[in-house]
Amino acid sequence: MSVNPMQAIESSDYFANMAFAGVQLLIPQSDIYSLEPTIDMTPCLDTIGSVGQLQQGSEMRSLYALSSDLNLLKSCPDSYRIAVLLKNVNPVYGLLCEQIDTLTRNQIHIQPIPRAMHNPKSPLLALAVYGKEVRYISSASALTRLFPHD
Amino acid sequence: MKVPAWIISITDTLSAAVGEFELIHVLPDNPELFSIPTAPPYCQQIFVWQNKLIPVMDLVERFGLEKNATPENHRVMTIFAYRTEKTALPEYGALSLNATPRRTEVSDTQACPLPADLSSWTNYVRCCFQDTESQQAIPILKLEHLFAYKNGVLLS
Repeated sequence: MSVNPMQAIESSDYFANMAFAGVQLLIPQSDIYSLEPTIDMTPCLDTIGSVGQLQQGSEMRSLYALSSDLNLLKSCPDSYRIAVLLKNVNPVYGLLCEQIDTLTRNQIHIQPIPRAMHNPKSPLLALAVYGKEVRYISSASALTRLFPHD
Repeated sequence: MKVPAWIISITDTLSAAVGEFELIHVLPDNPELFSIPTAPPYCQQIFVWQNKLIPVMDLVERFGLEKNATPENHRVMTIFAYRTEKTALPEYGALSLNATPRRTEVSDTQACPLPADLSSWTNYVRCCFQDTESQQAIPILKLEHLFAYKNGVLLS
């Protein structure tokens, strides 16, 4: 199912807050399919961009790991122990992180990315002020901009 | 007729100016900066001010200027407001300056051409005047273009 990413953000009351490499990345809760431990991951070097795969039923899901500057990592850091499978995107894929929790919409103040910081290739759709901190907001479909395409 | 303006020190050798009401706040302390990794290299940092996100434009990076000798912790974070259209709500951006902005008054008789070494600033400058104090040519920044346009196109 394809969902307008900004619509998903605007209509989402809950956000998954994924933490990795010092990054706090918010994804609409409706884009989360399941959480899996990376112990079940099959490392793979032959799939471009992904650090491993996860068997889910009869399907193999590619797993990706990101650096603090949102570049794809070639191997999975030991601290990335949670695989978050994302939906509303085809094919379903997983993003690895160190921690994950949930934030409600009323805990954050969602703001557009300032025009001067505009980058059409960015997976970031908006920013969130959380207390005195700034967090990134993306979605399952927007994050695919980071992945290699045929 | 003289018009009030602020002279802002961009680097050790280059100053610019903005209109009186375009400068809205000089931060007494350096704010906590957050990096936005996918933003252009000249505008990767942001801070929270009054629950608003304020992008920090690095003019040295953007225009390939000589690096500042002034240490980062001696610089003065200054917030500016601009409108992309007359009826639009104000938007905000910040510059990290070498010194506290200096107030001045400018008249038409001070108008001068933009120095040749600032030719890359043409789209981001309203006009230029000669400062009576320093005798420097001071470009008056077109803030809305600096913070909201790229190659003449309004960023969305």
